[in-house]
Amino acid sequence: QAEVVSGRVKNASVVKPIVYGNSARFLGRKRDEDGHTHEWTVYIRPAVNDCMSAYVRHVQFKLHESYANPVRTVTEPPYELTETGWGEFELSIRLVWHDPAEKPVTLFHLLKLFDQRNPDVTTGRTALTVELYDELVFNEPTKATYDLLTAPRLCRSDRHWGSAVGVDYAAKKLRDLEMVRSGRRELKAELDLLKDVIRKRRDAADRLKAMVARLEGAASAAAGAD
Amino acid sequence: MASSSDVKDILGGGSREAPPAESPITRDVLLSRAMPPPNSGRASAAKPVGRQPQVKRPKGMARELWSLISADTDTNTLMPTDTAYKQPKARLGPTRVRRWCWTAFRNPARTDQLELRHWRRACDPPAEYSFAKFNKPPDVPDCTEEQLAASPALAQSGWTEAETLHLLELMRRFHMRFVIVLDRWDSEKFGHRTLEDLKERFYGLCRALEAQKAAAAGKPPPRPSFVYDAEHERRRREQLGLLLARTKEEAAEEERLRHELVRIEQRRQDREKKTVHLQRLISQADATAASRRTDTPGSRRSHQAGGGFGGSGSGSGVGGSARKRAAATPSALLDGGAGSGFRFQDGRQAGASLRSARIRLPQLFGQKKARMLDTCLEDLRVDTNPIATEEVADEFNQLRSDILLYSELRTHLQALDYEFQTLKHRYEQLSGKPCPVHWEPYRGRSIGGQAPSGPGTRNKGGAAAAATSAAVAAAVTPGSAAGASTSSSPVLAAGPPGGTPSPTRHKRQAAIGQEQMMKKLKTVGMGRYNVN
Repeated sequence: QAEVVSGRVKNASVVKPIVYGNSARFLGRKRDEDGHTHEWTVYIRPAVNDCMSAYVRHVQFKLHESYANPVRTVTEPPYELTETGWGEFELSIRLVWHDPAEKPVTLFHLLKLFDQRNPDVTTGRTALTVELYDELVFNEPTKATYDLLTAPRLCRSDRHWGSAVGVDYAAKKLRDLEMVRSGRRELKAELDLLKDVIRKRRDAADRLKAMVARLEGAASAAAGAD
Repeated sequence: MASSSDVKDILGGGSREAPPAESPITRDVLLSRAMPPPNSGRASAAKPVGRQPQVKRPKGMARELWSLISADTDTNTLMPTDTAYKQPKARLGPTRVRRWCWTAFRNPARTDQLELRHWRRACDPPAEYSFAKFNKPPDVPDCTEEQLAASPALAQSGWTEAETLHLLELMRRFHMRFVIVLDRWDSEKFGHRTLEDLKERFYGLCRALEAQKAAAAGKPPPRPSFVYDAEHERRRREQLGLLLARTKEEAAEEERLRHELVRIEQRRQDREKKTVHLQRLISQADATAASRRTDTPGSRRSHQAGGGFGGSGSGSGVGGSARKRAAATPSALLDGGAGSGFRFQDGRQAGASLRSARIRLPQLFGQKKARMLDTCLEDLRVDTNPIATEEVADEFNQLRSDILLYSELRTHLQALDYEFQTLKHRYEQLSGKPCPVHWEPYRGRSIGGQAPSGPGTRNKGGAAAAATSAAVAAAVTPGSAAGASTSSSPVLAAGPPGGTPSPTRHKRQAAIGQEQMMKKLKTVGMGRYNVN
């Protein structure tokens, strides 16, 4: 059993993968009463079948100030919010835990409505979805949170978890890792070459400096003799 | 418009009889004038009676207007009087005026018995001219022509006796004012002389005469109180003349050069500072690498945890011994692994946080540096925003600190190159021979648009080089652009996943599109890379 110091579980770190983002669809026309053109849904959900309601009290979506009641609270999964609008903006998603001793976490998401390059999206035939993967890391969580986190609860519906667009994040993780590693390898070779040249050049510069110093000494000696 | 009553008001009581002017004014008379006895003036007594208005002035109406329309107004207006002053003479003081008389006087400073006249009080006793005390005869030495001819010490080449005497005479006449002496110099007779010539001759003669006098008295020659360095004065005057004769353009040019000098000096100092900084960084990196080599694989993880930013920099695990070892072997300094003492948020504090916070750049990170990082990452075909898992985040942070080290080393390379150019120039200047030292060429790739450093390639269109390298990177990596699999973590999808290209991929496509435009630049750039 993990050691508990001042209410927190020492040396424990729990990771909860999540995905968040938004989908948006063109309404087909500009609505007369408010000028809204798109219907969008912003969501946050676990990346695996592990219901967030076990440890999340509620999720606050903070919209642009031009919306009525810009702070919307969702207490039940699915944690998502559907609205209409005409423009993109950055909204914040605030996760509040069941245990008030644990500080809330805020994510920022740039709401995406338009994709000029895809005519299907522009005409509203298909929906546009932007999704990001992230991980919630609970370092030394409080005892209460730790218990909640380690008692997995299945989601009520299959539509409440996983990528909304079916991206395999496990595969993507491997790809990204390999990408970063290959970048490092490439840079390493470049760095070695650079270091070698710097070393050689520094030696050459030192040699030349010594030669110049000798010449200068001789010149001043000659000047002194005059 | 003023009525007579206004005038009366202003004058304060109308005309009052002045005391008779026959006797000199005494104190009593003055006092009685300053404080008139009560009831002495008619007006002050009559005023309350005469000013009794029948109808009161309505409130708000201007006084001038009221006095025009009210029945009370007297019709008298201010009239000029043709009468002259009542008193023939102004009375200015308490006593009678003393007499002045127009008297003749002589100034003892004049030797020509000139008589002038001035005003004096009749009552003052006759005395010497009062300004005679300012008469200061000049201390010009006396010297005869025979004296000058007899003593060779008094002579000076280029000066005849007559000329010297002329100088002394002028000096006496114009009280040793050299500028006036120069002006009155008899240039027809003695030719042109400069101010310095005159001064030199005069001071030289004075000294010689003093020495002669001292020798005659059997005393050692007196120390000259001051020395006139004629040569120096001539040069000084010439220099000032040149300074004054500068044109506006020349002055501006000089100012510009002065600024340039300051800038060059500044740059040199900056370079030196950077070199020192880099040395420290390299030795630090070396120490880290050395300590890591001694670490067991098991303990490495904890080490990384302490060091922040992928365990690089001056982590707590860097022992003093490793530091010393690094300092002892300066030739091995460059063997270090990851460098820059950069600290990103390590996400190790208690509480919930996002993994992506670990790869976020710190708030105080410079914008220019951040852009440089992005460009380098793109050159290395790495997404600027990879998926946020622990392993990827660590590797990604390591990669970025490597990039920072790389960038610093590139800067250092340039500094070295600059230093070499200076030394080479100096060597060739001193010895007259071409420089024998071999300068190692750098054939590395240019990651992140850092212009390759080498003789002749310095400071040539940095922006163009950056654009070129971006285009090159895009051109040589079509595979990465086509491979949507390595796109960035925000996955844009419409309908089936992967149907929409990611922002990064689009950037690359745009870069490829620019390739045509950049072709010329590119060839120039490639050519340059292959020069050395």
